[in-house]
Amino acid sequence: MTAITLVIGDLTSIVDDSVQFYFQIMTKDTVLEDAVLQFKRIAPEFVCKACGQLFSGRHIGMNCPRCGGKSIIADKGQEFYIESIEVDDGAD
Amino acid sequence: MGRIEIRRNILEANETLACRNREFFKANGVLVVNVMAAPGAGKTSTILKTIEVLKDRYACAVIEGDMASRIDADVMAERGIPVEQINTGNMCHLDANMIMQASGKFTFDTPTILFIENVGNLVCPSEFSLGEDLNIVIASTTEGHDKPYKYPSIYLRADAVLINKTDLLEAMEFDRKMFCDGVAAVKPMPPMFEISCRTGTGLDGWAQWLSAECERKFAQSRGKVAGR
Repeated sequence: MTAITLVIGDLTSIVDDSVQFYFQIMTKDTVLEDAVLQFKRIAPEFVCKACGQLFSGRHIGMNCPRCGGKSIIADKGQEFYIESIEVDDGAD
Repeated sequence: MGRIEIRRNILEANETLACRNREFFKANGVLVVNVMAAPGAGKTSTILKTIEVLKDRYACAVIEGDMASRIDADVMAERGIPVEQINTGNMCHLDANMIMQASGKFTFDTPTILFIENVGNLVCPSEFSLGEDLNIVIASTTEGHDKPYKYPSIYLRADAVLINKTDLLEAMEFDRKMFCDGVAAVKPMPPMFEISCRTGTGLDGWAQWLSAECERKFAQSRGKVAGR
């Protein structure tokens, strides 16, 4: 395996450098030793439950910018998953 | 070189166990309250005082999470509260597996409120589901009013926020508005209760809200049982 792509939302407490640091420790002397971690960060996005408006960023008050509704949930930014791995399949 | 799509949640194992916990608690008529706060905010005191108010209406039990010691569990046990202590060693949070093992040691009366006192920490506990019904964040006036700005992720998960040590509010020059604006910048304002475990101020309002949440959950469970 040569590369692993991780998707991490900015609303999580996961830090790229820490993941990288421990990945290196854990993979030493294994088949993953030389694998490269690639990080995709996802910016927070919110959705208004009342009108469906999507918006990004945080602001004081956190009301919907379209209808003023207060029922807002985070739509993006809480991801923490392995998107894909790249492996040597023997093809040139 | 071949690219293989994976798209699997890295905390999937924990999520699966949290779902199992949730089913276990539902089947046993247990409402689970995950209490998160910084060290010294008053998690243990708040749980004790809340149980004092609610003990005639609900059976209560506690899971204590600390890196080391049984200090909090002993306090609970002295008062006759069923308690399990989890020592996490060097881990900074509780996870679903720890809760699964600890909760299996109780005999739950129905209905029960199970308080889980998470490890004192404003970062990692927010990442790990335990199978809880409610996430409560306790802030305290002694920590200062800027914490929601510095540790937003824990407030993102809060179903209710408590501000403890309000008897010291003036002495600590705690800026209530700045604190509330900080919480509201993370999510729509959750229910907020200003309490003092030392003087007892505000505990009734908080306990009333919690018991309303209990009634809602237990009514749903009863409804489902009756509908079968």
